Amino acid sequence: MSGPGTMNGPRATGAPLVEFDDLKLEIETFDGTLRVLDGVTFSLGARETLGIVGETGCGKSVTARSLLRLLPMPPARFAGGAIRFEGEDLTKVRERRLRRIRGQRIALIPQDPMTYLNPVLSVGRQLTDVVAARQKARPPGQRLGRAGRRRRAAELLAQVQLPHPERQLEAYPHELSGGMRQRVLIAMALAGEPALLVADEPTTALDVTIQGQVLRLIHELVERLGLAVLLISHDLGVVAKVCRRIVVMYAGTIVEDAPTAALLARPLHPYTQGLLKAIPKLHGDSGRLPGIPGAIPNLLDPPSGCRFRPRCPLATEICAREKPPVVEAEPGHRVACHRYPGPPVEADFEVPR
Amino acid sequence: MARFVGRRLVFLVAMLLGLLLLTFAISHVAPGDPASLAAGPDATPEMVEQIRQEYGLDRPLPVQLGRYLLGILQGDLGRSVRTNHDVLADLADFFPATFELVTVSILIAVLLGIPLGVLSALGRNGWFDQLARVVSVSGVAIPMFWLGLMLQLLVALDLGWLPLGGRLGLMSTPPEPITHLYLLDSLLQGQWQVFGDAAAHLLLPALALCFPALASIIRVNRAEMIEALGQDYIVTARAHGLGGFRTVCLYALKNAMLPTLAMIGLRFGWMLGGTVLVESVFDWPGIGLYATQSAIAQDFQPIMGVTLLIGISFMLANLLVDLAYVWLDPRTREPA
Repeated sequence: MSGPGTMNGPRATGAPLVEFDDLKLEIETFDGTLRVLDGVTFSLGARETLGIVGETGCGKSVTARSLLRLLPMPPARFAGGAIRFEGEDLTKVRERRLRRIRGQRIALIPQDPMTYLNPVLSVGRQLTDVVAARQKARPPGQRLGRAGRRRRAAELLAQVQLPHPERQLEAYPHELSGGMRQRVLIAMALAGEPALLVADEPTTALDVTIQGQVLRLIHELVERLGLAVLLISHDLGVVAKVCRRIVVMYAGTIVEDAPTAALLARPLHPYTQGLLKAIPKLHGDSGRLPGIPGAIPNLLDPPSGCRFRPRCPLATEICAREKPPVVEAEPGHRVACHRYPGPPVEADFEVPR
Repeated sequence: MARFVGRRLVFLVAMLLGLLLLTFAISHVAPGDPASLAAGPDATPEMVEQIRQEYGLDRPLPVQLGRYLLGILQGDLGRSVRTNHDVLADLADFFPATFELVTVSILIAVLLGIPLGVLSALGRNGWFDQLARVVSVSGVAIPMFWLGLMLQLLVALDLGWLPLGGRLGLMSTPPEPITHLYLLDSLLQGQWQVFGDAAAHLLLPALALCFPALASIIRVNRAEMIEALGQDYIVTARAHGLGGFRTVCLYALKNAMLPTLAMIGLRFGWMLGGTVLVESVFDWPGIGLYATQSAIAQDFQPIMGVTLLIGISFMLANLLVDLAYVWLDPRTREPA
């Protein structure tokens, strides 16, 4: 059986697997044009694990969805830039070609296991359909027949450690628990030979105990199959557990991009510093937590210059005039703030009374 | 599954009893005296009284009800005062024509309505959707009998393409009765000419009858398809490279069919009622026409019989809808 594991090639070197290059995305609404992504640039190498964090509405899910072009277009549209994946610009390839990439090379683990499975089709039906779609990438002689597809579906369920995989194939989504459903969705994602796994808040809708299990499972699979991971979450703790590198987004822009350890130890951007200070600590003083005053800006009419400026305690006059360029402040540590390059700054946020 | 059907059947019997009470009550609160009508304009009061006794109309209401229910259990739906025919035999004569008309109509409405709804949803606000919207709005707005008359005027009289009314032309003899459905019988016996004639006669009344149902099936199916296509599970399917026709038909339509199915069951009932109008316009020899003629003559037994028959058909149709629901939606199945 040629599982996804056979794809662990030497691709770990050379050009990155995915490259977001100054991607701009707009959504046309009744009130005007939302500038949802404003120049998103980052890259992800093969077998690399990258997390994107940020508040609700910062564009992290949109970034993940734009990679697979799953946003309804229109009203959404690419307004510039590119997403390069294995040598192709995904913003430009045809839908037919994209269908061969979706699931086959880039797999998605969606957010809410309750709604992302079809309620009227059995687990087996949905899983074998995905397996069947994967057969198109194989030479005609090696495609699985009906029984083979079913066997493969059961194998996939076994791979995500679902007990009694044969029996689960007969089940309908409403008969499974949230954690089991999420495992089914992960099994679907493994049906192809993905090089990249996109996980969009994969544990948000789960109980804390199940969250841990699912995260461990994802982590294990990624290690074993040698996948690159793009993990979207608003939970820094979750991201830090799985990812080697973290990208922080704010209002459709990238503010900081650094190895996990460096980001947690020495956050450079005022916004990242605020985020980290807002995480409650298990030990230490139990005073009130500082927050970042203000709210995310209206994307119909975003602030000029730096989008974080209205909430930033360190903002100066240049921040209103110019969009801060992304600079490499330390090796491998990129930040988009006018204070850099330069010595690290410290932003103080008020503790609410 | 067996338990589900069993429980539905018990419900059905209860509803049937309610229906019987209703038909009985209607006939007794309606104005007019059937006995004097049956006796004719020149009858003496003695003759009227004699008829009243003959039909049991002089007994107290509960007794009449008891006799009515007892009679129905024995297959006795009473006698028509107007023709002196047995109502059950009359219904057996007239029902196949109505059944044929309604079945063809609902088939047209479903087989056309669902694809049209799907296509409208896929090309939302495109030219096809706008066209389908015109059809569905006019279908809901135009009264059935008016549409029937217009079809007669235009297609039958002006253009002469299809016959004006009736079930068969003068030149055709009805096929040997097997199912009593002309289309089926003529087909079974290979009588192509009769089949063509029967189909030509059926087309206009079926169109008039199916139009409102077609309209609402398109509307409901379109709305439900749009809803289903926006669901997360469609994103999942697309994210895994499933696309095009398969995703649409299986993944979305199976979900969209649930409310559509309820609408179909409802519309079937309305259609049975609609036969009264359409059959009158097209002179279609079914129970609708029979009911109209009996109503004009204040002939209660046939009206009660027709009401009962329509009620039972409606209940059975909705039983089928319920069963289809169980088949379509695993969530309605009881745990084993």
